[in-house]
Amino acid sequence: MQAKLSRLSPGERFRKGIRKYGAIYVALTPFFILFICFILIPMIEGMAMSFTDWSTSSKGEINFVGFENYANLFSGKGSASKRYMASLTNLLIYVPITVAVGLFIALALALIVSQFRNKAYNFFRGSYFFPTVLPLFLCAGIWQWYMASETGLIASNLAKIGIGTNTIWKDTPGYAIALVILIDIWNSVGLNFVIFSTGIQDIPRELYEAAEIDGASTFKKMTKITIPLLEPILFFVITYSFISALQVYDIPWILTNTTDINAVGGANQVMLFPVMEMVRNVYKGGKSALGRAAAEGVILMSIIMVITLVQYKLRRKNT
Amino acid sequence: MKKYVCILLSLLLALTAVSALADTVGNADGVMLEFWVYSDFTQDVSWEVMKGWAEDFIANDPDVTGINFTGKNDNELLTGLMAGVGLPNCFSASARDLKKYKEAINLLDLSDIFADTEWSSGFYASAINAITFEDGVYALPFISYIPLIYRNLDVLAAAGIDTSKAPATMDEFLAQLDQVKASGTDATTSWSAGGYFCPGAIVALDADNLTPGIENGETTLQAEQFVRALETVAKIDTYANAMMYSDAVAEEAFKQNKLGFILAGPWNNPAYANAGTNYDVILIPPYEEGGRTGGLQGWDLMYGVTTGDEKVDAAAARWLKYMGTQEAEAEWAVKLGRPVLREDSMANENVTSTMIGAVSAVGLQGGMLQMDFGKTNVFWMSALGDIAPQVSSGAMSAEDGAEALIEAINDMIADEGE
Amino acid sequence: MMKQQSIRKAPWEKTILYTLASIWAVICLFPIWHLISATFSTDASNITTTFFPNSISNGLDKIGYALNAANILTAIRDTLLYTLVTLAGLVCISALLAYEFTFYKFPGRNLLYALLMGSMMLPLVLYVIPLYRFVFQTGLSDTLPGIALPMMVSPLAVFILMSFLEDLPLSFIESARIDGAGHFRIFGSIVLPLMRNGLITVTVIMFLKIWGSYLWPSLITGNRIHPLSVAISNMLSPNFYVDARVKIASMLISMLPPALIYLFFQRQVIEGMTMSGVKG
Repeated sequence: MQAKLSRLSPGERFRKGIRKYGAIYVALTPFFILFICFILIPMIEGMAMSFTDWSTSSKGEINFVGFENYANLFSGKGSASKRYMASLTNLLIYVPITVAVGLFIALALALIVSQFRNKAYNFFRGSYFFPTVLPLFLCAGIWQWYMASETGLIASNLAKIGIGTNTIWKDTPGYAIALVILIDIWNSVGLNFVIFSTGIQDIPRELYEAAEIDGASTFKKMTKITIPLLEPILFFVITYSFISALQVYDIPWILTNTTDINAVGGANQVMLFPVMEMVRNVYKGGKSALGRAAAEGVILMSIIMVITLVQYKLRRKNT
Repeated sequence: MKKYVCILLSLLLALTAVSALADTVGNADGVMLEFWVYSDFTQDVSWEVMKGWAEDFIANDPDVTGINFTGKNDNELLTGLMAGVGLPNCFSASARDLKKYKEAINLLDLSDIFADTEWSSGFYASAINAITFEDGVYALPFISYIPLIYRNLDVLAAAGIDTSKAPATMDEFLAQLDQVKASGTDATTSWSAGGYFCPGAIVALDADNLTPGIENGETTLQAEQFVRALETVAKIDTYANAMMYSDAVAEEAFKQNKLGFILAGPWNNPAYANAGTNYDVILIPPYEEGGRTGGLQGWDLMYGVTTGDEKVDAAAARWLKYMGTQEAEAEWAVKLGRPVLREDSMANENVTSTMIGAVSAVGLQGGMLQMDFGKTNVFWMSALGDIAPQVSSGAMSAEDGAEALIEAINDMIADEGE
Repeated sequence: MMKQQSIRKAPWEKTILYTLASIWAVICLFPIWHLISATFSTDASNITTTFFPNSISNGLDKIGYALNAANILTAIRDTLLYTLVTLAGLVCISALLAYEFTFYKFPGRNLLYALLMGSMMLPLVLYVIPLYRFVFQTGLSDTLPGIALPMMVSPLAVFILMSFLEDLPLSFIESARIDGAGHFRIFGSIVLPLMRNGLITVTVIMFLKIWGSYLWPSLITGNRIHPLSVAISNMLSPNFYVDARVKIASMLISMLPPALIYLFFQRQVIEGMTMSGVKG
């Protein structure tokens, strides 16, 4: 085809291209017009802004400052930089734990429930999935109520068995992140559970039968058949769990939002995450604040991309 | 199916076009004012009061044919302002952001209405000082608030405390906390947790010794000015349970006689009043009898925005002036139980006869301002919310905490480049 | 979809498994029951330990108050309206795109595809301010199209639809082509009907997403459109007084539409999500 086209004059080639691809491009147009207007252009504008001193008080006057916003963020000087560092540290703790624990619970439940009969299976699947359909602002609202120290239903009972006695969860190092992890897991286990259990259903029954003939135990069947065959699914779930965990925002924001924008993330930033810090800068305004927020966004985006790429590379190596 | 897709898409486009057109068709004659308010102003009692004012104002104003109230919180407001587009004619917002608004948008200069001294002399002097800039006057002083200690009288009586008078000194207050705790009921919530609100109330007792200001990019506050306050907060916390003052559960505990004292804003009053709790409010006790008290004053102001259309701008100014009258602010104070920034309204006997009004009017005399409103963007009290919990938990001594506080304030100043 | 497998187990083993599974089910479902109990209880009962409704009338009062005085009713109507408009547009344009990307090769395809998938992992906050400026300047702020159009672009929806289409054999398209069917004819009469499950899934998933969205609606709306998420979060703000039971009643009400959708379309939601999962 390529060779045939090249014998034509540019004009003819264009007309031929139109005839061949015209309908395709027409179909793409509505989506991409919206995409360009509402995602691409604003995004490029946002990235460009990370190299400027854009602020609330600019009144239209914006100067190019090169990498100054980035340098300031990593300088460790000034509260914005210290807060950003704290948010990255929190993220480093939060992401692996929430992904690992969340996937562990989902996988364990999937392994258990997949052994049940249809009716029981459907019931459990239906219940586990329910929190997933709730908006995050509701999840945060509900758990804020449960985890309030002393009288919160869950917190007070945990305190009785020695977990978090006399502790304000959302204000205490360690506990604050645990609280976010708890809510996130409550919300997301359902989705991962369903993905896992479908994967388990798809594993050919004959494999188990063969193993049973060899006298394999339930545990052995699990580790030798189920989990290895779930690997592609596991990979997918891990990747998107990472991506969404890196962008954690709604839950900690609602838990710590007060009238003082600087208090977002709790006392001593125990619950501060990068997207929150970004939004704080946007709301706070002030010197270079919007430029700084844009820079923080670009950094986060780069982290997400690197992690995703690494995971794809690892996967390719394994298969 | 293709047909349906086409129909849907064209419907969509038509919809877009129609609403875009609808936007350009406005009424040409009268002035419609767009007024952004805190979302609570559009509900309940505050909405009835606001609506009443608007109806009265429109009926008597030559130009204004309507006022559109839109509920927005501080954050939504700020983002809208930042984008620099779609501004309302008037908005209500915290005084903390006064300087930022002044820099970011063309606020309406209210010099003309403030020239009417009969009207403008009623405001607190500190409020007039904050809104007055070299080139004009840029806001209407409206609401103020100070922290109040709510006392559950049933709990106190059960602990054997004489509730007929407020504790005269901080030491007396601490003794009462001890008494309540000894009686087996939680004395109070944590005063270090939940941000600057509670520790700030204690710091404000030292207002006479504090030297806030910025020189050469550093604060003029001294570490030793905070040691006593941090120690006091830590002392109070030894009687505290693990709740935050702002938690809904703390409110619930107070209502159900499971909490002796709680520090809260005047906005919490209806919750206790509606629940039928036996309570009253007092100011933060001073260190020495008769000493300075009142806590930390926060303000909400009303702002106007310049549109370039003189008729509209004048109408917006008139509306602001209406809301700033002695009668209007007094009505607000009475019906909502929220103190206002007019001294003459707060002296109005309808206001002083309410519990909150009476205590607040006294508190506003001694209450320290949260920050130098209108002169700086650094809300340095924020840093207190980070330091106080560390001193209370024993992770830091009060002296080290005070040093760390100064450092944190300097960091905030560095960010703003002031 | 489930292969029947009756595994024989000792009773004690069964008991343990059922207990473990039930614990998590209780964790998932109890809060909903608790919200209902707390709403339908008298003002005097402790809201955190009321596990059974004890006053239906008080609950109805609170719900009535939430709906009318706290404007939740208006918010539900507006939110439903913009959610449906967004969905209509979103499904149309995403289905077309998925069709083209799955079955055709054309110049620029890879570039467009990379662009699309790349933007899937970007947080909205990164570009929300320029976006807001743009929408405002076109005069669309606080209008239905203004709030809906930006939310119609969803790479995720395209992605899900594409994974549904991947199962369709190309021979379908080729034979239709030989019969002389045009490009859009193939889409309308062959692909779209076969995509039915995918479309339902995308509709349902996106409904939940748009219903729960907060940041964008809170920015772009004003006095004409009242998003539910904004109404609720304003209510949760600690700075003014709302009765605790009214708050909980409001949460309960706003939970209802997602819950109903899930109840009726459970199979599609779950089937679709797992399918897109496996295809990832």
